Amino acid sequence: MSSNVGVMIVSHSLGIASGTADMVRQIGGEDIPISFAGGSADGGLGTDVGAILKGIQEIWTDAGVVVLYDLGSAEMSSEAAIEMLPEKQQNKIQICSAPLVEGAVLAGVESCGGGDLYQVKSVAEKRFVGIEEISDSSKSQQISITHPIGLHARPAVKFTQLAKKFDANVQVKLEEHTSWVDAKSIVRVMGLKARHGKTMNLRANGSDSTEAVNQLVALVKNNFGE
Amino acid sequence: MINNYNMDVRWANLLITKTSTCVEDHKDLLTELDSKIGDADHGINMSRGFQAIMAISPELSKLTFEEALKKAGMTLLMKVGGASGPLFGSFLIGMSKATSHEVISISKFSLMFENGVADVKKRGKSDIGEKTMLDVLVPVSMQLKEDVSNSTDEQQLIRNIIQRAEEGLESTRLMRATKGRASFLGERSIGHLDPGAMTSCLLIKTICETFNSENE
Repeated sequence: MSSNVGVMIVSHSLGIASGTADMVRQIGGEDIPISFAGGSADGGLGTDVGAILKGIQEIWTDAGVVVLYDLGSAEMSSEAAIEMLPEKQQNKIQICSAPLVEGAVLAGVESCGGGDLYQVKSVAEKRFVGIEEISDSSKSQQISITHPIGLHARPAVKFTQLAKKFDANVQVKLEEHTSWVDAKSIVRVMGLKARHGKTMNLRANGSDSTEAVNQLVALVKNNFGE
Repeated sequence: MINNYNMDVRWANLLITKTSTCVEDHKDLLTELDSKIGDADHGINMSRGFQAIMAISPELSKLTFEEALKKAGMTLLMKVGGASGPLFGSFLIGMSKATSHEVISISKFSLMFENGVADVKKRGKSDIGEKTMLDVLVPVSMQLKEDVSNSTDEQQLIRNIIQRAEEGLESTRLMRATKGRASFLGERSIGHLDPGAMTSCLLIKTICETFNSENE
C-alpha cells in the first residue's frame, strides 16, 4: 500500500475535477493516490456527497488524504462526506483552502516527495512554517550546480528524498539569497529555482548532520546520478 | 391549550406530502430567485431532494420519528447536489439528534428546532444577518423558545412563527450577502430575497398550516 498522502479533488464540474486530477498525476505519476468527484449525481454542475465519500475511501491509506475544492458548497459537501467516515479516519483528512488547481498540484508535488499530511496541507495552502535557525556553521558546505537543467523536478525529488533519510534538520539556500529553506520539502527546494551554474549552501544540525551534508553535496556533484 | 403530537405513520405521510408539494409548487420561483444572486438551481435542487424523500416515504413512515428525520436529512444531503443539500440535510439531522420520543410536545419540538438551527450554523459557518436561510430559522427558533416559556396558546404561537418567518425572509432583501455564491456579487446582492430563506419560510408556513388544519 502506498504511504503517500492521498489527494482528493472536488469540483462542481466533472471536467474541472478530472482535468485537475490529470495535472496532479502528471507530476505524481503512480506514486500518489489521486481521486476526484465532479458534478452532481445526475451529471449536472454541482457536488455529490456520495461521490466524495467514495473517492476518499478509494484512495484511503494511513498516510491520510487532503481534500481540495473549488467553491464554498464543495467545501460543505466535503465536510458532510468526511463526517460519514469513522472518527479515526476523519482525523487524518485535511481540507485545504487553496485555489483548486494550484493547490492540488502543490499538494501532489509535496505528497510525491513524501511529505506528511500536515506538510502537504501547508504546502498546498502556501503556509510555509518558519524554520529553525542553525547557528553552528561547522557542517555548512557550498556546492555549484553542474546539472544542465539545474535542481528541477526530478533532481529535486532525489535531493529531498535523500535529505529525508537523515534525522538531521537540513537546510538549503542559494548563495545569493538570505533565507534558508527546509531541504526535505520538495516544494521549497523546487522554489529555490536553483538553475545550472548557481551556487547552493547547505547546513544542518542533528546527530547525522555531517553525513547528511556530505551525501547531499555528493548527489549534486555527480549531477543527481543522471 | 398546547397539544402533544404522536408522530405516527399518518403524520409522517402528511408532513412529507405537504412539504414536497410545497417545494414542487414553488420550484420555479426558487430557481428564479436563485438566478438573481446564485447559480439558478435552487428550485431544481430542492425539488430533486424532496422527490427523493417522497420516493422513500413508505420506508420513512415505518421508522421512529428520530430515524425518519435522520434518514430524510441524509436523503437531502446526498441527493440535492448543491449547498442546500448539506444545509437542509444538517437541519433535519440536527433535529433528529434532539428527538427521543414519539410523542412530541411543543417544548420538545422547540429544542429539536434549536438543535437543527445550531447544526446549520455549524455546517455553513454562518449566523443571522448574512442573507441566508438562517435569517428565517434563527428568529423562528427564538420565537418558539419564547412562546414555549410563556406557555402561549398554540394558535397564537403558530401565528407568531409565521410572522417571524415572513419578517425574516423580507429582512434578507436589504442585506448584502457575505456567504455563499451570492457573496461574490457584493453590493449587487442587495435588493433580492435569499432563495434559501424563501424555501425555509415556505416550508415553515406549510408545516404550520398543516398543524392548523389538523386541529380544526
